[in-house]
Amino acid sequence: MGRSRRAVAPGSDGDVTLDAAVIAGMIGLGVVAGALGALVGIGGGVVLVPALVLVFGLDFRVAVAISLVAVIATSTAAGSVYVAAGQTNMRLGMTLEIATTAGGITGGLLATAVPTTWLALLLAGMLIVTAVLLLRQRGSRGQRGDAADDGTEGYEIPGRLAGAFVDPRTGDLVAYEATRLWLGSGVSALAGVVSGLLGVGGGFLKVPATHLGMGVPVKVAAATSNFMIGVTALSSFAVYLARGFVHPYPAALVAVGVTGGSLLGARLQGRASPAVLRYVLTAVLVAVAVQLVLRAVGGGLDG
Amino acid sequence: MADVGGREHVGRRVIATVLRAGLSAATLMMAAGIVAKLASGDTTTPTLELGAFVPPRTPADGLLGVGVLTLVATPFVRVLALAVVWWRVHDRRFVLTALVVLALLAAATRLGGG
Repeated sequence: MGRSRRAVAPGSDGDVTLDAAVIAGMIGLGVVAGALGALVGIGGGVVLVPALVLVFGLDFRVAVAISLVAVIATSTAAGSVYVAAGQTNMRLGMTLEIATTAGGITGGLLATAVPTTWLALLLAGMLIVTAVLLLRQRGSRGQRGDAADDGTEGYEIPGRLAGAFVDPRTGDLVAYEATRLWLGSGVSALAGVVSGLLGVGGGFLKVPATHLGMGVPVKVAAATSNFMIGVTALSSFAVYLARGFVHPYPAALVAVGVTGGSLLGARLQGRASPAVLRYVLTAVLVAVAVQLVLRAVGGGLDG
Repeated sequence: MADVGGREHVGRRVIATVLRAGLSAATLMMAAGIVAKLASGDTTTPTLELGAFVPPRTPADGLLGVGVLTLVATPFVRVLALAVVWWRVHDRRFVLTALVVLALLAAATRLGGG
């Protein structure tokens, strides 16, 4: 934690002057990122990191650290709503958090050691494949079951990676049990690495893997991913904090905006259909892929 | 089984409360820190380092730094709370899972500084 490890000197590319435009801009950026993150189960880092680097001129790794704080705010704000509603499968989330936390630590450590261009290109290809798979998906893999009896929208089954939730559109109870844990854990580990490298939540990988690969309904997958990304981001953030990349004022401005945006997005998400969610997620995946390719080709991910 | 279901319901409410409380406290402290910073006329923004931040340069820096740390500590507290919740419903497999995650999070800071 010594100052010799600091890559960003005080008063240089990690700092901003706190004038009205910067404060309004960073809070506004946080609101947009928070709403997007809550709606599609990602942390909003795909919006934040490029904006902080290109608009506010912050160092890439400082922007990643700020984005990780925003990811934690998104996960906490929206997660409180989803958990109370019973949409989150916390046992599934905690199980996958083992892999995603290990990945997050690895990503944080790699961020200061290797260029990320090759990984960004690989990820862009994977996102396009996932987007195509999402577009081809039809309906939920859940089964109808008995009505919930505790007044919430869902529940978990103790001792298992299973549960049920009430679809707010139809009023039916959708039962499910997660399968292929090895697949979910593998993708979660990869998502953790990407989160640590690029400051994103990794939900754009976890939601499709949990939904398509593990057979969990998309709404539960999105809520569970949102639940997980806070811990994923924390594991990487700890590395960035220890290495002196955390600038609290920009982080706080963005986090305050993200908190409001996340709560807004979480309220809206309960009214969206699974099909609409898949289309939104597909559009986000393509946008992230294009952004990654452009930045990798332009050398914007190195350094 | 109904008792287990009831405790599950209580567990969800506990976790939701932990998340809301952590976020609310952090947001209040961060907002207060920003306001205090603006009121002081100081527009510089220091780096947050655990070792160098205590004691903080100004009250605003301290308030805001504690707010950020409260926010990022909330997921850690949530994992800890879940371990307790699952212990109470005798779901030992997931208690162990939560403890592994806590150990990994604790290791992250040490690995980052090492």
